[in-house]
Amino acid sequence: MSDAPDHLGEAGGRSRFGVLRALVLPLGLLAVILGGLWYLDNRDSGGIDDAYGAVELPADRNPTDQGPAPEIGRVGPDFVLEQPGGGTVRLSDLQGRPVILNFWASWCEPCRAEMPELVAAYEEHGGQDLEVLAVNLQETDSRVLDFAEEFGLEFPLAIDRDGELRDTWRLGGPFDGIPTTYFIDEIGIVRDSVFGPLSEEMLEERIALLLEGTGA
Amino acid sequence: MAQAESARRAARSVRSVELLGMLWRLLASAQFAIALIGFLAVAGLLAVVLPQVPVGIQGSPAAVDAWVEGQRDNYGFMTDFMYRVGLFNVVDAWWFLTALGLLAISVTVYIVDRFLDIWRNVTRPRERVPDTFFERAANRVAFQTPAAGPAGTAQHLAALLGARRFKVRTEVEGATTFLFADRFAWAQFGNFASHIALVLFLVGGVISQVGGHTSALLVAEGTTSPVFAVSHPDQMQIEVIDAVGTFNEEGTPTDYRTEMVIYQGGKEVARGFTTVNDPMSYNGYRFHQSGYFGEGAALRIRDVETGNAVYSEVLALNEIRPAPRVIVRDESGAVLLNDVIVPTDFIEEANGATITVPGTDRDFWVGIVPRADEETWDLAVFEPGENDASFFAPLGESRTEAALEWTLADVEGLPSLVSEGIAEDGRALTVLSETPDGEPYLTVLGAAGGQAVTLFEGEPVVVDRREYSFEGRREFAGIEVRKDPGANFIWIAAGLLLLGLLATFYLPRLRLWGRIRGDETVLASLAERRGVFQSETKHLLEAMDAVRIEPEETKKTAGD
Repeated sequence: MSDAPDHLGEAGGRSRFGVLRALVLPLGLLAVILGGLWYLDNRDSGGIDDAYGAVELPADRNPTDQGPAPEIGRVGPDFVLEQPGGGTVRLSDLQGRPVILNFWASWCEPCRAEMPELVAAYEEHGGQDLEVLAVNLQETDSRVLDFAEEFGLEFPLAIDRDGELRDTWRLGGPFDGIPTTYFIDEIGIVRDSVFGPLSEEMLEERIALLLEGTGA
Repeated sequence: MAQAESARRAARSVRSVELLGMLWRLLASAQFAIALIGFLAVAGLLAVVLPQVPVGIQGSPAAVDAWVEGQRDNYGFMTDFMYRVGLFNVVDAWWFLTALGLLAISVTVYIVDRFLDIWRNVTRPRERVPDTFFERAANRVAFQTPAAGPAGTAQHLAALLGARRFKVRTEVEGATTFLFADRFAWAQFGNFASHIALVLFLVGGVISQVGGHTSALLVAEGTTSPVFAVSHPDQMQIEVIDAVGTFNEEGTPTDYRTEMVIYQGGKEVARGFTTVNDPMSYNGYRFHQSGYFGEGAALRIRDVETGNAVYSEVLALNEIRPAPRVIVRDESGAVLLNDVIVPTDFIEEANGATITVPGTDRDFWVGIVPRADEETWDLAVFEPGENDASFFAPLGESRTEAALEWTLADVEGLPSLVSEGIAEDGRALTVLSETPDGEPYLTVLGAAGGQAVTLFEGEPVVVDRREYSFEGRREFAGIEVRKDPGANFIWIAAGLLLLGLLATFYLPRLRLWGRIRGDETVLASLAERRGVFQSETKHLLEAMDAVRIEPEETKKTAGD
């Protein structure tokens, strides 16, 4: 900052704009920077169909007087997702029987570790008594189907293509990771949740809680 | 009363304006900026001298706590205080970021503060200066007006200066001719370019910090890994098709290269190669090859009854398990065994396994035991039920016992891993080795009731209703994913800085005022750029063959 202007130039009048410059220019600069950041954060990330993801829960499917939330005692947030290989699934359409809602990905080692337990639970209770809906996070159809074949997944699968359910369903809870599993009763109310891999005991205990309510 | 209130309001308003003015002057002052730079330099030195919390654990409070605890040996009772004030994480400390922000604001204010004056100075320069300037200017030279007289001299000077890229204007006033010459006046903006570059460097850094992303992934061949931990609007999965590491004869890596596919939103969006020097790019993210690990093994376990996988992982065998290479000969000297014994039994500090020596039908427990120095090993051989075949032999020496000659040829480190999930309960040890023919095989210990299972590729083994399959060796690619939205700012800043420095220090900018009065001609300029002034006036005087008037003589002339 040592290069001073020529003192013989037609300097002067600095104070005329002092206050204006002190406020307007720095604020303008800040606005440009923030605008740039906003643009970077909100650029179109790529052509995913907005028809899928979180949707409004129909009033007649909310037995509580509170809005949907992924909290125990509240009705779970509704969503419509594509299924690998075709078709869609809507969470609220599954009301009428308890649902184990599991969020997973093939790259997630704890998800792979718990999947045989879910498969076993579905074999024992699935179908009429209980539904399992496994929501994959942002992977390809082929990878999901290959995984399903390898691990013998018979229950419905869906793919959250744009990751919208991360916030809606607070995936990972305080840990920012998956698997995350919600236990939802037959009228759509969240009864329990587990952040992390499920063991056989954890699963059986919670399934018993869900089935207790239905009398199954 | 109303007048008094009005006066008080006016006074408050004046005080506010004064306060803003003071703040503006502080931020615009070079001293303040230099103080900030000094403070940041000291902070940077602290960040180098003091241990800093590793980037990889900063997201885990428990890991950070453990790390800080580890510093207590060196910093004692000061540890907690140093951590609280941010001395273990200087670049993220509030005081460091505040100083950085203040510096950016200060430089911005400096630019704004000076810009209008410089602009006027460049576009509307003062072409006439008073006589006193010609007498007192720090850079001045006086010479006898050549024989051509004032008009001819002015014309000659203008021609000479024009040839040297000056813009020249002359003005005659009575018996005096005034001359104004300006060259590369716009180079004064070079100073601004340098300062704007500094601001852009800081802004680029902030944008990278706020909007940037860095994650390090270790991805096995045939598997995928996400860029983000859970979900993200930019979520992508990286599939490694082939990871290649090449090494020279000394084992030093010469190149790492990975063929990979990027998926986003359920679709393949990019496919290609990444190397250490040529990262792959997609959607503003760069995928750098940052590492390579060659010791992986794919293991799958199926439930025989259902056919479903119950375990399917590519294991990164990053632990080293010592294993003896043993040579056994019979009495005739024929080699019966020359192989690495994969340890499956661990007796105190001994690693070994029970083997059957080929051609003898005799079982031996063969292993290694560390010596007291914990650097060398002894071969330990024990034949169950035969007390006479229990002995030790040092590395490289042979020992003949029970009609067999035993030699511990070497102790090799085998890639291994202790992990959960393979055994139905507890942990299992997996060791990767090769037969003497170079065929890889996997030994899994503890998978089925403590039993060791040896697996060759394509040859599943069923134990207790579980089918174990070794699906081959796998290599891992270390991929660092980076998004640096501030990078463009940094490049622009670097360019501006270069331009600014060139304009400031390389271009011979000069502004000259001349006065031709009678037999004396004076050329003068401001105090700065003395070197350029001296060189230019020397050239002019030589070209005009002018006789210089020494300063004393000039004063005398002026006094007359």
